[in-house]
Amino acid sequence: MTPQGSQLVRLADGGILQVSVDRPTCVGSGMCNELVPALFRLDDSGKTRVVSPVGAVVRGDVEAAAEVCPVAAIGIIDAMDRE
Amino acid sequence: MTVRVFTGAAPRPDQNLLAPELVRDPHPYYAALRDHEPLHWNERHHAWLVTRYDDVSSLLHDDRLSSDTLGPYLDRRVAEADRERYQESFNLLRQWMTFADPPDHTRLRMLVNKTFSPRRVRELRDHVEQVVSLLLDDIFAAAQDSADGVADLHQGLAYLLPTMVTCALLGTAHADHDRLRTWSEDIGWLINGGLDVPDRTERAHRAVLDLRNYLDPLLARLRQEPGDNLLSDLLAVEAEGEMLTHDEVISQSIQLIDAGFKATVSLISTALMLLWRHPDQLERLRADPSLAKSTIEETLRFQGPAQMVARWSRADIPLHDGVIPEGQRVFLIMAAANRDPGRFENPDVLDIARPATGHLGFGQGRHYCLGAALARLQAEVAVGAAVERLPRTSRLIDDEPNWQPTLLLRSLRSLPMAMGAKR
Repeated sequence: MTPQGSQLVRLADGGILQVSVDRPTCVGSGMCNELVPALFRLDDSGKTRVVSPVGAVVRGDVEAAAEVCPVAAIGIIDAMDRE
Repeated sequence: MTVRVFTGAAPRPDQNLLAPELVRDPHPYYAALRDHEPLHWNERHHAWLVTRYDDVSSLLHDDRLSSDTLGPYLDRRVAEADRERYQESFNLLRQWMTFADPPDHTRLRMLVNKTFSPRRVRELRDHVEQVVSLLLDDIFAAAQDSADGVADLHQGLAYLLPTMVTCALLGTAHADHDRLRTWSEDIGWLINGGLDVPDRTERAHRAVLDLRNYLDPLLARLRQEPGDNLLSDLLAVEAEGEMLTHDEVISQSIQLIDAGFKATVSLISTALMLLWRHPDQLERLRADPSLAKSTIEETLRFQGPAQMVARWSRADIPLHDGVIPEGQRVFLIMAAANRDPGRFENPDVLDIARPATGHLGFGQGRHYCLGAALARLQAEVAVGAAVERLPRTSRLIDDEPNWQPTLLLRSLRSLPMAMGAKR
């Protein structure tokens, strides 16, 4: 079961990540969209939403986005590890 | 829709925002603005004032507002004779992330953001706890040595903690903190709106150039022998290619020194001052130390260091019944938004257990405070430890908080406390 607002993301390495943004915490710094524009979108309220990405996403990029988020609002869970 | 109760008189367009009664307490004035004129032109400061939560929040995300307020200041407010001379220092100031717009802002912020990420900052907790413990020892010793048993918590804790943490993080020598503080204060009179300081532009100009001259040999040394610090990291980026110019390294270093020496200082001493002036809240925190975190969030909402940010309109921006015309100054007043009854219940009541999310104390959007996690950590540890260790009989000496008269940054100048018996 995926919590509301989270997104299952197919990675370039074949694995699957469950990515979420805690909306009340998000301050819309835009760091995550700069790093992974295919996955993180700023909406009209100025906050980030996780969207269904077109094409595969690189694991390191998603991890970097979670790392630089100034309020640690991005959650990542390994839903399926292909390694 | 919120029903707004109109309070007090309509705001005057020539109101001096640094009049003594506003330095003492700006909130009745902010309430009048929110109620009567959510978009208000202040003739004296040549600025549009925006005070309601929804407006401030949405404009913090609005790219029609530029953060480059120093360019217009130099062009319009500085005498032509001085302009060329100030160009050098202003060029360094304008490269701060604070004043940069995309794409420069994005590039710079990506480079330094990692160092200040919540995860990296958590690793500093032990260090911060140790520093706080030692500083409190010194404060007790100073109080015992003094004739009246008084020590200044602003200087002894609120100032020294962020100063020591910033020096360690950046790689500057702690022995230099007095010089760094003076330069940082001189820059502050300009960028934080110390409007009553007549030579503020000249002082900021000299401080920026002095800081550059201070940093140049330090950076040269770190280039030869890199250390485990942020300045070495910035130099590594500079060495990698065209991502960061030498001026940008200097500029970011000055900005980080400046931020580390002022805003967190203010947050810590304001939080302590508020607790000691609200004994019921102080008792609550004593009874439940886990409220330290939300105490800091409530301080940021109720009386945060960042009163407002200045922006410059790049287009006509319609708002309520008016329009902010292109090419004018805008003050987004977070301190007013944080007391908006349309967003916060009983906004003028200090409630240290209030749910934390949503206040604009660190701003929002791309200029959201880079050092937020580090400031939160230091303030939480410092205030938690002070409340635990200061004797119950300790009391503030001043009848009124000793506020510094700057527009953008609200900060105390001192916080003398009588310690009573040592616990």
